[in-house]
Amino acid sequence: MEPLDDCPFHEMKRTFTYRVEVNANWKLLFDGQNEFYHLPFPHRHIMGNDFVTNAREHHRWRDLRLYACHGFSAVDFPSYRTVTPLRIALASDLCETPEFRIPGMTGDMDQYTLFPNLTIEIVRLARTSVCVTYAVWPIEVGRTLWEVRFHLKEPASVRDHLRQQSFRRVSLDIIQEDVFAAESVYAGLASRAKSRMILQDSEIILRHRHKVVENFIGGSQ
Amino acid sequence: MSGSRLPAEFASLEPYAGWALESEREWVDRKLTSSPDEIRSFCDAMMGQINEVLDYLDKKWGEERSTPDQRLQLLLLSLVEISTLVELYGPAGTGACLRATPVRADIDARLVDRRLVTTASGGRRWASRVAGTRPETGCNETV
Repeated sequence: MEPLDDCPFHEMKRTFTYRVEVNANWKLLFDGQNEFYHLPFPHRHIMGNDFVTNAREHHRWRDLRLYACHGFSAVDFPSYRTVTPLRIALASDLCETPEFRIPGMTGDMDQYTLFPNLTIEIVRLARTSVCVTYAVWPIEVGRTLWEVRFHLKEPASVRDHLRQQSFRRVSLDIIQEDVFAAESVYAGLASRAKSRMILQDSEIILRHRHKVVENFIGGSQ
Repeated sequence: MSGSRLPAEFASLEPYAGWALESEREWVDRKLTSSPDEIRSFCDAMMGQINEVLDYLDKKWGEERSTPDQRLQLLLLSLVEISTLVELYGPAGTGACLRATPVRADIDARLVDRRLVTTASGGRRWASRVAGTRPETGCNETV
């Protein structure tokens, strides 16, 4: 994970931590965290077309790397993103805000999937960058503690502060939708009505990670 | 902070001073217990002067703020809290999403260590968690 070597984590001292118990298996919750295929569906209101970068109105991977246990993916944001009256007002001092770039980033959003249960997400937001970490902690087969941490730089202005708060709020809305989806999907899987789950090409990170888990626990029958 | 006033320049926002809340838990409580009309009204009032409010507070960034200025800043944080409901969810920003999906409200409450539960009589109330039965949850930074 060399690209993280120069990441100025020490400058992102402002943290918000959220923990929520989710009625779903830890692997399922982690799956939802590590693919972008689902974004236009459960998150259509909150994200709009913010990740649409190909002709099929979906995301296009900028990069994908599969390691022995870990994974890495990167996507770009389109040139157009959802704007709202509040976002416009908060953006009016962007040009004067000091830049905070993370060296070594591949896309606009880089995601490191670290075996077995941690995701590090680094997001470029206009002239600044933020880091969010997601850890899933199994409590029992159908129950998981999801721990989400936002790591932010000290804001440079009121508008900068509110842009951070807005990112936090939008992210929490996304987390809500992911929790709801994970609990619903898990309830369906737990019913045993279906014996298989198909993962398609754009879910390659999940396929890789399922294989890693399978190998780790001794392989499937 | 009850009883304090907003800066004179923003006296028109005085009816919304009750939205000047200090903690994330209070923001969420207020959001989940306010009607869509109340949320919309607060949002409209704030957005009507948003650039003036931001310019006013940005000029004082880094300085020690007076109580009225602090309260104005807290109004902005409440505005951010409800902004996704108004600007991104629901037809014409009516906050319909909040009414239509109690599950969403419940998860929001779970994220800040509060749970909105239905009582035996059918009403809704906040349930406090029993200490020690669940890991500590919620935001660890006051704003």
